[in-house]
Amino acid sequence: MFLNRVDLEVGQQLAPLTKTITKEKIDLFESVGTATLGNGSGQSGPVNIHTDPQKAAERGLTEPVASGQMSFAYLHELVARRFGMDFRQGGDLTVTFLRPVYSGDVVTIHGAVSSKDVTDGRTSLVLEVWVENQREEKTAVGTAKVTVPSPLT
Amino acid sequence: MTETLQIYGEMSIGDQLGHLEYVITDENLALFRESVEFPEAAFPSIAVKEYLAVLAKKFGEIPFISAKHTERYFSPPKLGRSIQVSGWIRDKYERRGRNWLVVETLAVDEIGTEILRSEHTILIGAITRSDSVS
Repeated sequence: MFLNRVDLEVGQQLAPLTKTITKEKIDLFESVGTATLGNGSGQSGPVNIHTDPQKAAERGLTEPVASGQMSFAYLHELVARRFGMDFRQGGDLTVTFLRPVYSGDVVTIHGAVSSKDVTDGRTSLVLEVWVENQREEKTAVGTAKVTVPSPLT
Repeated sequence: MTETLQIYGEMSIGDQLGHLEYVITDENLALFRESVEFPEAAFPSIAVKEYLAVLAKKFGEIPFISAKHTERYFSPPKLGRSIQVSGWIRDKYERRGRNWLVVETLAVDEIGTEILRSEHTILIGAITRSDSVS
């Protein structure tokens, strides 16, 4: 599945991903931390602004919102699918969260090469990445960096 | 809100936060992969939200919204190994009347292999509809 060939050029896009956000997916995502860390998760169990309408209302929200970390995970997937271990060993990802994502939203995950440098047999790429909702609003933007082959291998 | 600001006032750059330790099991890896709909997803971080857990261990639950998250990957974690996470306050500043905090974490496994380093920037305090939320 993972293709490590660096045949991308500046301006080219990765194959986008599409995710439909549902309350069930949000609840499942929120359950991972408590399942793994138990009471040490700091996440009030699975009851928080991402899962509970009342908790969300207490914080001025009209309804629960998906964690920004879900968008982060989707962006990670976009890059990991293309670069595999080279991303997971030496890569990095920075994401700024711009707008809430709600249950019912359909988000598309994008990435495009913004720079490419070949030095000593290694190709270093910088990708602009972003998440867009069904209204074509960007909900998160960021940058991914990966070197092929990874300097850590 | 006043209590939250008092807690924020007690925080200092460089403060060590709580320490986490957990094991990557088949079950929690499968749960994570199902939650992100990616069968090859790596672990830890992301759903575990270590930045939040280490902060809560030191200061309790604090209302905040997430603004920015960075992860740098060194080595994927191995199934069955214990993951240990340490965290500290990387930065703290006020901008346009708002209180910001940057929490840094480092995850290593039981034999000392570095897994990942993260930085999470949060806005402490109230949320309004115009703010991003995560």
